[in-house]
Amino acid sequence: MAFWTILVKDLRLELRTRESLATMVVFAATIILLFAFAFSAAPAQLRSFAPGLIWITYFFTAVLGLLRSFGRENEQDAYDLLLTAPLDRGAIFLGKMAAFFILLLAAQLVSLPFFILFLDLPLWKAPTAFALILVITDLAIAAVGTLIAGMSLRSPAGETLLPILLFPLLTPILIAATEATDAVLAGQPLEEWDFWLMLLLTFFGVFVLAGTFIFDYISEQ
Amino acid sequence: MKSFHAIRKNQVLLGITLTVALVNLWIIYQVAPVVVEQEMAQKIFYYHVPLAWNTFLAYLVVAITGGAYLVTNDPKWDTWSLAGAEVGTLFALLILITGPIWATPIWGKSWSWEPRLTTTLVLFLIFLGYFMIREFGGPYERSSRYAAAVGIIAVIDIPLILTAVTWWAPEVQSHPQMEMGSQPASILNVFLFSLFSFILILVYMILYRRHVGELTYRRLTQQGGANHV
Repeated sequence: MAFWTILVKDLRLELRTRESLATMVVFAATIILLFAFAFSAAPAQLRSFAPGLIWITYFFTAVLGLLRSFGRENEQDAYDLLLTAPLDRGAIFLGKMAAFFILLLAAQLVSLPFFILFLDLPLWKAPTAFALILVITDLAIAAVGTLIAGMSLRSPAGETLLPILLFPLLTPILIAATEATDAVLAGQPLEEWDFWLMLLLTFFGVFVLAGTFIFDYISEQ
Repeated sequence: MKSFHAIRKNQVLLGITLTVALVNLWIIYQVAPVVVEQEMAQKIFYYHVPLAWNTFLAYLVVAITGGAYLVTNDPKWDTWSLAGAEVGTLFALLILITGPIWATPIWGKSWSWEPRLTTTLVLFLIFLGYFMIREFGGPYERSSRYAAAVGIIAVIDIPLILTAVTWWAPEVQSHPQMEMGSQPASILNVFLFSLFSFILILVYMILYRRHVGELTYRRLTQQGGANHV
């Protein structure tokens, strides 16, 4: 119940303002443009850098989205009020996580054409495989991201702490997503890289469980 | 509350720890056999590997006491967590220093993305974040809860990081001494003694740091300032 309320609240806020989605997409496009200029010396090698570039861009985009998603809660102490409500904190975590997952996925899908256009990536050749990577990776990012953002963004130095804490924790995700994307771009069949998907799923499963428990303890007033 | 070294059993512990550490150093130089193909460089392993084991031991202390702190809200667990984190991170730094010292003559380059070394580097970075959230995380109560959570998350993350970096760089040569158990007795015994020595050092350092942490906490609460740190 609380889960749906939080999820719908976050999505409705976003649909009314579209500020997170707009900033995330424009940010992603800007970064891709920077990459295209920075690596223009070697267009032939760009293909081998591409999976890394995609995921680095998406990681930065995710941080931007988290800053908005929780920054909004800090306005007029909304978050403190939310925690005062007689709700299960685990449900608050899951609700925020699900809303952020949808937001991140939407931002990525909208900015994907830039990658295909500017970096000349044949991602449409294996749409289901790439969609699978995208969805599972985003779930994993959302789980850890929501947990860390829920802590760091209530601190005075939150905006700077968030990426410092988040990126090292997400190393396995960056590696798995990059390697899997690389395999897809190289046209490898699913059997040859499905262990990366398993790693991503394990990561998500572990941290969604851990997050649901831990969030309860760190969300005291 | 007495200072740490004014307590009799701590003096004994310090004496034993120092003696064992010195004997350990002597054994490593004088008794341990020289491995032919690596010569003296191999001897750094008697420091490197026990440091690694003890780092994970220390981080385990962080996670367990962090969990206890979150559940019980008793600040004594938090002083344990902080002690474990500081000593563990110091040890992690020493792993990151001793690894390249060994690799430079043996592999011909200082840094390779060896899975365990890479995992240590990532963990080291996570724990730098841990200290930052402790320092800048807001009021004492809140920031130590956040730190406890980060410590637990970090320890849960260790196997995932290790798996990912192992699969990521399968071509990187692993340690030549994969199985300590299959080493000849002359090497294994020296290693076990060194491990014992480092466990003593770990215990001594954690106890000392915890004691200081508790004194700091008392001073803060006596001044009524615990919420402003």
